[in-house]
Amino acid sequence: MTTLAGTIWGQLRTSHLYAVFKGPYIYFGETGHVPPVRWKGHLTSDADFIGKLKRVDPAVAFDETPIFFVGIHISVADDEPETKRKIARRAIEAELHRRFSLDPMPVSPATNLLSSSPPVPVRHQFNFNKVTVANTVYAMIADEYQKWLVRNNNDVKK
Amino acid sequence: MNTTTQTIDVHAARLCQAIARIGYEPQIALMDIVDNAVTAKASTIHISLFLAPGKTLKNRNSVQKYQVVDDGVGMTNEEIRAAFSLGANGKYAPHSLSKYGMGLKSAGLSLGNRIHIVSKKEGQLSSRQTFDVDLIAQKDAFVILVSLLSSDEVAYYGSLIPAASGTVIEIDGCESINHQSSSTTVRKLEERMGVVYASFISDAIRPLSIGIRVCAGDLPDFKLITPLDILFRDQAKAWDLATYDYVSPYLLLDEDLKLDMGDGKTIPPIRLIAVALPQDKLGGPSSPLNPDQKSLVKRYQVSRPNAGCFIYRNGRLIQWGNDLEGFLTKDEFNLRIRMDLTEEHDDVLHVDVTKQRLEIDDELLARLKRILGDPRDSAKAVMKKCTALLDKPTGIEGAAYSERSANVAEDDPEEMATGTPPEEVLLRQQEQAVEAETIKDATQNGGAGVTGGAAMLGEAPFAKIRYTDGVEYRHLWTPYRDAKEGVFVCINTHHPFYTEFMASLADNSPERLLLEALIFGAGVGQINTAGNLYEVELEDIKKVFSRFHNNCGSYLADFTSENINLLSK
Repeated sequence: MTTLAGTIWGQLRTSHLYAVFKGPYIYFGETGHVPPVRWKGHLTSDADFIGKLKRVDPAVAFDETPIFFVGIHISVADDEPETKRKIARRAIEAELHRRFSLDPMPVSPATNLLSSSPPVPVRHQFNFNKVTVANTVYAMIADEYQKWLVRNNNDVKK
Repeated sequence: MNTTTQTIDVHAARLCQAIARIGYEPQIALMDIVDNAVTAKASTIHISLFLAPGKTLKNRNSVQKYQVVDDGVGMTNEEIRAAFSLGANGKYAPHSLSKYGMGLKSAGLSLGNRIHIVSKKEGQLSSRQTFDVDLIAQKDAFVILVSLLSSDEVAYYGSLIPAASGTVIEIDGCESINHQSSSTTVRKLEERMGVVYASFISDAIRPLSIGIRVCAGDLPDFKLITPLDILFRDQAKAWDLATYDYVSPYLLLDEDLKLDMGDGKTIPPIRLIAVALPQDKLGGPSSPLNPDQKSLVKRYQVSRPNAGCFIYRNGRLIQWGNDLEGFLTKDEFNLRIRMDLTEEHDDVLHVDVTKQRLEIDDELLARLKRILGDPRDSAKAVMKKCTALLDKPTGIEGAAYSERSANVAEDDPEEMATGTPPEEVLLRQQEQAVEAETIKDATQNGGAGVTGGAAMLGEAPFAKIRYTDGVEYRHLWTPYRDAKEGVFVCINTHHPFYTEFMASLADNSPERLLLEALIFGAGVGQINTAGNLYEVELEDIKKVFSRFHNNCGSYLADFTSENINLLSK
């Protein structure tokens, strides 16, 4: 039997927010590349997702619980001047952490946060509302994750 | 397994002592009793502190009796007995301020050894029932004393409760309990009750009125508590650092924190609001803001004790300025956060028996830190902006000194103990005033040769320091004495000490203010000496000071020439 493992598309140097899930753990991040470039690090580096998980909960890090990645293209960050794009992504990333802290239920059962919120660039103004963007990103991440949970459960039952 | 139950002993007097030591300050205890009145649907609550004979507001342990009168639903004799029982029956209405049924006893016994209740329900006045610690110790049993009211007492309590229902709580036997001064208790009540009960006092449908007074053998009018939203939300602007105005509160957060109980149960979200306020110094003398703006800033009373997380339970403030386990440091004293809880959050937040203390567990604290990180950083950015503005010159030379010295006396210490001044002194002072009048008009806020502008100065205090080119050549300054406003000093803007040094210092900098203070002090000395030292001929005094100024001005001019780049080093 074969199942779709996932698809990803987009221009190489573009702004993305992403989330990584494994069991009850969730990790938020940002990248200025199409996400797989960054995701590799989360599976190999001790400083990233899997490395942190090994320290926090080795049982889950090494067990067969599937890992789930979801990336969201943030075009409003790409619309910012090039020197401000990373600052813009980090502003949304910080807000995304805050959205999760205010209400983790949309991504339940992944309620344990592994990533740290970046410092908030309070002095910077952007051409977008970071709260609105983060709300949309959070809803999209939660929606994709919940759909995957249902698919994954069905696959397991089969 | 066979099981049996056995009754255990309760030592009534010891239990009462334990209850009394729960740890209330007098104002907290009084507010706990006020809570009961609010629960009883009172619309008017009067708090009176009766001082013991011979005691003043400033004495410790000065209260003979505390009295709280409300016009709530009142109690029958049976209901008063139930109110004195220990522990609640759990039949509180939703969003009640009461919880455990211990408040009256624990708060009351922290104020005094006897709690008396007289109540009126449906027009019927109760007997007077007393919870007396000494009587309980004597009987070693939980008993209350029931006294029928005399006709005088019926008239007295009837006058306290003119409506069909209400309750009088009186606490005496206060002399054996160590308390702060009653002025401290009243000040704290006045400062805090407006914040604590703001939502009740400003309720549009059923506003609560709370009055407080101290009776020292008299019965003064009650001072009414006015509501205060400590976050000043009605004035708050949307957050935008780029257009920050240095005056308004700025809304940094207004969100619901949703709690996951993990067992499918849901409880209402906790509303979180955060506001950044301008630095208090912007309301002070060296601020470049105009007087109206300064007065707005002063209203916020931004300070360390007034910062942090203000936690409300069912609309009533239960924690003032919680620092969230050290997350909010002394550097964020312009940040105020409001957290709104209901009784449904009591278990999650471990609200204790006094309803004044709660514990935030590590997981929730971590979430709060992530949520409040952004507001905290924004509040810091506001502080930095305010500091930068305060460090900027005001553009009006002498204005900062004039404000800072507005309350400084200019008395001649030699004259303070004497009575009416001699005729000669009055004549000299009149002469000084005439001389000052022409100079004052010529130098008032933008007169000829004066730096600064009248429009900018606005309603600023009388200009005590005036920078002008109208001072005698070689002299750095000349003092004058206005008949009403006292001494003012003109500083020579042509003198090299001014042009090279003083003019280079920001007009509100400490260095400039200290130089101005030194010059002004010398000016006060000259004016008082010339005016008051009538044993010496005025002409002689004038000669002395003329010589003094020639020498002083010449020395400072020479010093300036020799050290021309002193400030640029």
